[in-house]
Amino acid sequence: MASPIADLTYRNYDGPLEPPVNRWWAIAKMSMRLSTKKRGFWVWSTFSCFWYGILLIIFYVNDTLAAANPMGQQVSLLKGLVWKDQFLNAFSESQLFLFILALLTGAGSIANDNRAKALLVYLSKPCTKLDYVIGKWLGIFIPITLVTTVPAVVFYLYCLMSYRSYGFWSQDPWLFVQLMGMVLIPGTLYASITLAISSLFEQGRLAGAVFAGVYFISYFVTLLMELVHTQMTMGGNEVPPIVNNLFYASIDGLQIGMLKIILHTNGSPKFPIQLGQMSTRMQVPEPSTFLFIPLFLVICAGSVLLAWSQIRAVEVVR
Amino acid sequence: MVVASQVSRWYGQVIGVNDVTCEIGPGITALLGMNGAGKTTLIRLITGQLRPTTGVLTVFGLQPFANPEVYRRMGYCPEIDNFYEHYSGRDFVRYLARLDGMSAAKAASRTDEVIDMVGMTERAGRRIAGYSKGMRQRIKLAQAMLHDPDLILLDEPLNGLDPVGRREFMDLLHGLAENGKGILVSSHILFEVEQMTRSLLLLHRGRLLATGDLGVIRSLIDKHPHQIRIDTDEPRRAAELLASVPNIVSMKFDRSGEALELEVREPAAFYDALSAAILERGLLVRGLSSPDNNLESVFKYLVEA
Amino acid sequence: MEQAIFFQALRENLRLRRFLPWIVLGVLLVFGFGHLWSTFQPDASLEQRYGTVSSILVFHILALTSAILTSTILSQEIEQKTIVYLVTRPVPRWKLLLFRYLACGLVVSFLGGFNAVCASVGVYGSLGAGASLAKDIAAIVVGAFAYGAFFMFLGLLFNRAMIMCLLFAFGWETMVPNMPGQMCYLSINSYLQAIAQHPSQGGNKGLGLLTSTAGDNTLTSSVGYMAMIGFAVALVALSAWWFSTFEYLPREDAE
Repeated sequence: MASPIADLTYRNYDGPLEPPVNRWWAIAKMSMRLSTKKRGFWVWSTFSCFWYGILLIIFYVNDTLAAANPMGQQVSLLKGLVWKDQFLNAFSESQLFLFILALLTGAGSIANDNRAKALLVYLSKPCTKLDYVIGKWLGIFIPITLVTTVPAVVFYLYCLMSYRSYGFWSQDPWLFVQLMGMVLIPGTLYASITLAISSLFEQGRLAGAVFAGVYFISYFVTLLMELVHTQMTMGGNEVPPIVNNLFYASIDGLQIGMLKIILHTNGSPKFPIQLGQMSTRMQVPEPSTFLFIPLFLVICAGSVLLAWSQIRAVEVVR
Repeated sequence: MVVASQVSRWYGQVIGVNDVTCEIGPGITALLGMNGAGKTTLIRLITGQLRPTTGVLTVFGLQPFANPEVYRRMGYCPEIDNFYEHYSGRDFVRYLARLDGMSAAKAASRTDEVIDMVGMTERAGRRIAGYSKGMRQRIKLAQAMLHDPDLILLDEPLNGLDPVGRREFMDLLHGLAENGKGILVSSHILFEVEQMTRSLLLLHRGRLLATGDLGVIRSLIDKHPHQIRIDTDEPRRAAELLASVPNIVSMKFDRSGEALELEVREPAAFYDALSAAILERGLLVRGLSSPDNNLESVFKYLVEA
Repeated sequence: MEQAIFFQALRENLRLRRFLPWIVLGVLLVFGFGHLWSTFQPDASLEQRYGTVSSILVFHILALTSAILTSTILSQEIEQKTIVYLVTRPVPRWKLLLFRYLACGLVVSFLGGFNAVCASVGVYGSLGAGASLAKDIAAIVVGAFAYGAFFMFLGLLFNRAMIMCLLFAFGWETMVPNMPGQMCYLSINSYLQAIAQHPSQGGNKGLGLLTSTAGDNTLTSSVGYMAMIGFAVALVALSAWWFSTFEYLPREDAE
């Protein structure tokens, strides 16, 4: 047990460790409790569902009007709709809000601990660096994933009950499984990136500023490339591969790319109206699965590793 | 220097300081109170970081809020432990010296002086991020004394200082007080405050419980008679000699049988009688003490009341 | 005293850790896109390409830089609680604010100017943008101080102003200049575009949207200068009054 020579490290506990779940889960719970106490978390979470709300209204009104029309379903906008693309579009529209949620929940997660020197407290408990990282990661991942999951599932169930006659089920019977994969993407990426950025700073505000800077600047690249793609397509020009690749070179782009791969679609126009072949061509095509998934995983794993390497059990005086 | 008249400060529905009226003059004054008593709020009101919700507070006859004229004559050592961590101690103090309006050369020389006064000369070139608690405390003290202010406010200044540092610091304060400076020290470490001053301001739950000299305050607390302990080989004879003295509330022998413990209402009259007993009746006394004539007891009695 | 405030703020903003990322960003993003733009818009003239890259990247990054650097002029001091040392010194609060603002404006101007140079080198391969570059730099300096004044004021009003500033920089400043009627005049970017006088995007609505020139902006360069200088002066004065009037305490709940 204890040696006659004093242990001068911060870790004094050398008894048996509880099963890991108790340790990282305690940290995750604490992080989530802090996030969900913020009013902004609930406000932005609600806003993030807005596109589903708009779609619900459009579908409901359209369906009601179609029922009143002698031609019925023949003229309905819902006819020929690519259902999985509606989830992709709803996700795209919610990205700004998810970014704000990540900013609220993740930017200060390690930075605030650095400032308060709370890392020393955490790591003086029977809790490893890995427990800490996993706990913090889950503390960001779970809230964001819940925010993406709940409206998607509600919308899915509503469509399943109401629009089977428009091909909701027959078009893609595996859609629910795909959706369950899709909803994990934002949480995974945001948790990894914010954790990495947060670990580099001692102030949540600075970490948030850097994260916001990275997000907006890279988002602008995506926006720019989307426009260039549209312009070139409309002008009948061949779109160079660099445009399509750069479209995915952002935090938003990475997620959209992954979602397109999971849903196996290029996407369709935001509003559920049929614009013909051109509208389909104007969508930036799905990225290469074999290159993109490893890239996504490397970015996430690299970010978590960076955070892990930054966490020190002792106070380092520089 | 500081005059507060019926000063109250509310934070929403929480009251920080409630109807405080007091004056603070030259010399060392201790601001005492438990956590949450309103010490920091009162200091923030005096340093003009806050405005009173009601009442009037003046420093050198001026309203202190955002008033450079007041800050020219006031130094403040806050309780917080925050700095520009990437600065060296010397750079930090020099920057604040420049904000005090000193020229670059004057700021540099004055910085060296105050850093020397707080015993940080050899370590002032290092980054603050690497400082110990005591070193950080010394740097805070240094910046408070930079412009040779007439009034210095120190919020929990002894936190983190080692015993030698505390002694040096107290000597420094006494020196400043002897030169006519006003010094307000906020603390809840009573025995240390007692070594610094007998003049106090006692706050409890935002209200001013007592102000003035510790001895005077103690003598005014009638509810609790003064406890006096006489160490003697003849406790029973001592009891016999002193029994007739008026204002003695109770007497008892301690368990060892070598001391007499008394409770007395007017200690001055009692000490006269005791002197007479010793000198005229030959009572042999080995020791005399008053266990509750100290800051801690005064604090306890007032807060309990 | 004023010098000390100014140079301390300058020193803070020029710390390598804070400054270098913006320089790297300028080189990678602005220069990179300037260089690549001939692929995306092969028919456009060099001047048009430079104008497009400058409008899309340089001016948006200017707003972003200003949002991040200027909104923290005081909020960072409040959060790290060092505000106490500043507000209890014999220096008028307005001076504290003004000289910090000036230092921040200078740094943002420099970074914006650097980005404009990167755009010019990316597009022309040299400083060939000439007159356009000079006009851009003038617009950038004016913009740095106008954005700075606005973000500083927001930073004084709200605890967590940075999110608002970022939404303004990327949401408002991208959308409002493209709105019809008089709405575009509610955006700082419209005035900066008026000062910079980039070549028109013609009928290209998409590029018009991204360059924030799709609205009915008929402002002249001189109106742009006057409006922005007036706006900055008014907001700085308002901020100085605000900071001198209201209490600024360290945040106990800072996160």
